[in-house]
Amino acid sequence: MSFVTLRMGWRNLGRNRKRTLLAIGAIALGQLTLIIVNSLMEGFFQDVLETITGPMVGHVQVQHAGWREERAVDLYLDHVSDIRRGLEAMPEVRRVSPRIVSFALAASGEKSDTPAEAEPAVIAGLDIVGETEKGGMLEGLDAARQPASGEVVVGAVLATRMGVVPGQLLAVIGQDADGFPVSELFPIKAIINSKVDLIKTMGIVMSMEDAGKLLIMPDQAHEITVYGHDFQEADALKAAIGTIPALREASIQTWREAVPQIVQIIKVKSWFDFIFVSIVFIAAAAGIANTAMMSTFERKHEFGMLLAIGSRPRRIVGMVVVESVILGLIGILAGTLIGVVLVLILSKTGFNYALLGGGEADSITYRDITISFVIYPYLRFKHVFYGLIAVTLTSVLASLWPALLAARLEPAEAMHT
Amino acid sequence: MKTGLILPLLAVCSVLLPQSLAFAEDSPPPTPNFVKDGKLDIDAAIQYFDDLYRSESSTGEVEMTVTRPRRTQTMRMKIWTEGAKKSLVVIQSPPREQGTATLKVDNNLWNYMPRIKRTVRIPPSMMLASWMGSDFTNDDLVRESSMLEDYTYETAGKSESPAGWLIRCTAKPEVVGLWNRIDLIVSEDGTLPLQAMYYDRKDRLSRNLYWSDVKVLGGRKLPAMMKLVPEGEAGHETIMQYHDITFDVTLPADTFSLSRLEQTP
Repeated sequence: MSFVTLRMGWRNLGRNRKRTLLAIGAIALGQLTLIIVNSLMEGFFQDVLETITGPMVGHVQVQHAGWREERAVDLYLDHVSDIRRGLEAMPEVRRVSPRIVSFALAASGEKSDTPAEAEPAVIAGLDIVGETEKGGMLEGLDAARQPASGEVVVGAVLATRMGVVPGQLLAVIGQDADGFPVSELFPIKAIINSKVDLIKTMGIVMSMEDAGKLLIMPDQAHEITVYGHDFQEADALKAAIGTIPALREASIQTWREAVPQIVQIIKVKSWFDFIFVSIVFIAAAAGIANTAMMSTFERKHEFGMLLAIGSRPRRIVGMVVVESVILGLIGILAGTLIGVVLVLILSKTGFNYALLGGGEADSITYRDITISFVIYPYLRFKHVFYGLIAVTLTSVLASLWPALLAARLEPAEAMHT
Repeated sequence: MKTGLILPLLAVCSVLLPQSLAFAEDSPPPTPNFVKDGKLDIDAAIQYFDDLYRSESSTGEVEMTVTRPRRTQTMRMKIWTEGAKKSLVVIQSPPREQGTATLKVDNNLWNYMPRIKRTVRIPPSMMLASWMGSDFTNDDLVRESSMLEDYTYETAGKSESPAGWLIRCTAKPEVVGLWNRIDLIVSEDGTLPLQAMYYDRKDRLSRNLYWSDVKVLGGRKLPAMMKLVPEGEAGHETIMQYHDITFDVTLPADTFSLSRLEQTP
């Protein structure tokens, strides 16, 4: 393709500026929508994925074989410190978090004239320091608010229901691993929010040691959450964990196996990517085809002239196609620029889609995950790239037909029109 | 029949036999027979059964054994009742549970934990939760439904195993409760409960209650053992074995008060 063809294509775009601008606007809008919507969806699902593979399930979860079904306090794993050491020695393993989880009753432990009302709660015995790391159950909880030995932190919703504040006493009533009633008073160190709904709405978080003491579970845990280096490689991690003899009887599940419904939703999401690309494709195709056809038919006379003075039909085709490709690329560029700027702004401020419906809640809960209504969009290069490819291809295809028509013109006849 | 199970069995018969103390422990009192001309007088039997669980007041000692697939635990407890509305259960052993107590007044339920010296009220939302780790629920303690008032009943014929009469009790439509239907099997003379099958609101068998070990307690012939077996939970059962019951005792006025709950040894 010669430079002349390129220049002629470009100059042709200037013939009817309004029409060109409209076509560019349509393409830009398509690309903009593609980028914004996909970035929002990406941000949303990334948030969900991070919660699942972070505090909730980790990359791989190890439990007593009957735990998931029954959740009985006596379905625990034994010799947890040995197992933990074994896991931590594996090169695939980045972090190990054993947990004790037991249903109980909780109430304000402050002395009062009328007995406090008990609320259903969940005792979560955690490796406090480990869980404050990124992806842990207590991610970001600063040292001043972490429960020391004999202290607890309480989920925000549960704390509100019980009417307790930090510094007060909490009465915890449960059953130990042998089924006997147990009770203990704990000072409340802090009230916490969590993306794991169970912790937020019912959680009483204490150290593994305290929970073990309360429930008579020495060196035992209900689950061990294991983190590898990449959550996408959970299957390999699971296989490696399965080789530990002490865990032969245990249930070992990857995050995909632990929350199959959400994995299914994420799969569905990739179809949405496809649908949006298709929309951009169609919008671009319509815009470009229209522009190309109009300008081709308008210029029959001119094309006839060019052919008459010896232009090769190939050149005519090239000129029309180049014109369309330039049109498409400008549209894409404009859409991408605006889209990227908007995504960058939204990724700082967050996009609260609850406001669209006029709601005041800031999150919803699905399958034990608290999903925030505020999305921080996340732009992937592929979303820009999809649009680029789609529009470039469309430009060529949509202009090819009018271009071929122009190239096949009979010069004499065309010059008469 | 009272669907409240734990306390009512204690209260067995005081209405029938307010003079029960007149009977020696070893001489069983006369029992009525509700079978006439080969037919069960169902009204009389149900009335008898309903009243079986009403008493002015009582005290008793019970051993509760909770069996789970991997363990069995036994607790001994003392129980005080007044009518159907008030009761107090205090655990005597094992030592680490001693003094743990449950107080019921009307539809309210409180638990006292001596270890932390705190009493908490069990909210209505926790009524279906297990009581003291057993197969009984808090609701079983609190509920005061009366067979006569809440259920329509009919004789569904003779039962073969166990031998007796099968009485089908269907919840009246306006009654809010856990059970859709209770199939009750009573002895051949219609005076002793043998087995009850509880069907939930979807009419699925939910649990079986068996009465056995009939003996004279508190001057009254009655089953001293109740076994509750939830359906579909292999290896789960709770047995209540009554060791002693005394009816119509005079109880101090503050027996069923929160302050008393927290003092109970």
